[in-house]
Amino acid sequence: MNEASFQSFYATTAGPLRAYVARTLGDFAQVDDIVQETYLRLLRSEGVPDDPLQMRKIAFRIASNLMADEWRRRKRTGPQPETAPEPGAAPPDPALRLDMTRVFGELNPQQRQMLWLSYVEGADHREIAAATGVREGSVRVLLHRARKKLASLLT
Amino acid sequence: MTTEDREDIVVRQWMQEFAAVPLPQSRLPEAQLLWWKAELLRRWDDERKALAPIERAEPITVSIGVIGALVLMLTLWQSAPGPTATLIFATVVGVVALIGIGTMMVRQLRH
Repeated sequence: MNEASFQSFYATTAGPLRAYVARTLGDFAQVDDIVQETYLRLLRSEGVPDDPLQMRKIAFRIASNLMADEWRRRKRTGPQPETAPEPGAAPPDPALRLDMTRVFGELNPQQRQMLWLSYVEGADHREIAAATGVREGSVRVLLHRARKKLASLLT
Repeated sequence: MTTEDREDIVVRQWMQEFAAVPLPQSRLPEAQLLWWKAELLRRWDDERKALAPIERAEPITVSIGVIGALVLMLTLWQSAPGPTATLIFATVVGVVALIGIGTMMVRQLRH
């Protein structure tokens, strides 16, 4: 990969990757650090294919691994302090945004991860399995449970 | 329509709305900066890989040098008269000490 192709890849993937990490983690404290580390690891890894679609899948996989590390770290160190709302977030309806974030926060990280990949990224079971490191058969079950839980929270 | 289909529609619609909610402003660096940072890290990786065999071999070469110096010292000591033996002993100990200090200094500088 050369610098120009990376710039183009970064421009198309940084937003979706950041949203995936932010919504799955449930807070914004580590989001940009994780996304930045994802790209650095991607660029440093050997044998990365030139195909942007393949690279995108690898980037999501790296980000998932980094988030798993972050969850393990949080389990060891205890819950994170609440982060204050950051500047730049100017949704049309702050109450609605807060409510949606709270509802999504009721799910566990893995459920958030699966739902985001499935419904926002449009990933199929095989792709979700590749991104999360969970077996394809388990993805079907876990996604079903996650969908059921979110549906119950919404109705 | 089954309950599952209904749930799927509700969840899909909600997820699309949620995905449209803007995130806080990004603090991500420019692509160019990331590229050069990765380039620098890649060079460090290459350097570490190139130096790894040398670092692994270092204790072995130092040990061989020290053993060789001790053997030489013993051989010369046995064949030399009293004052000369002391001089040989002092010289060999000095050389071994210098090798040891030099090795440690090089290691410190490298890390």
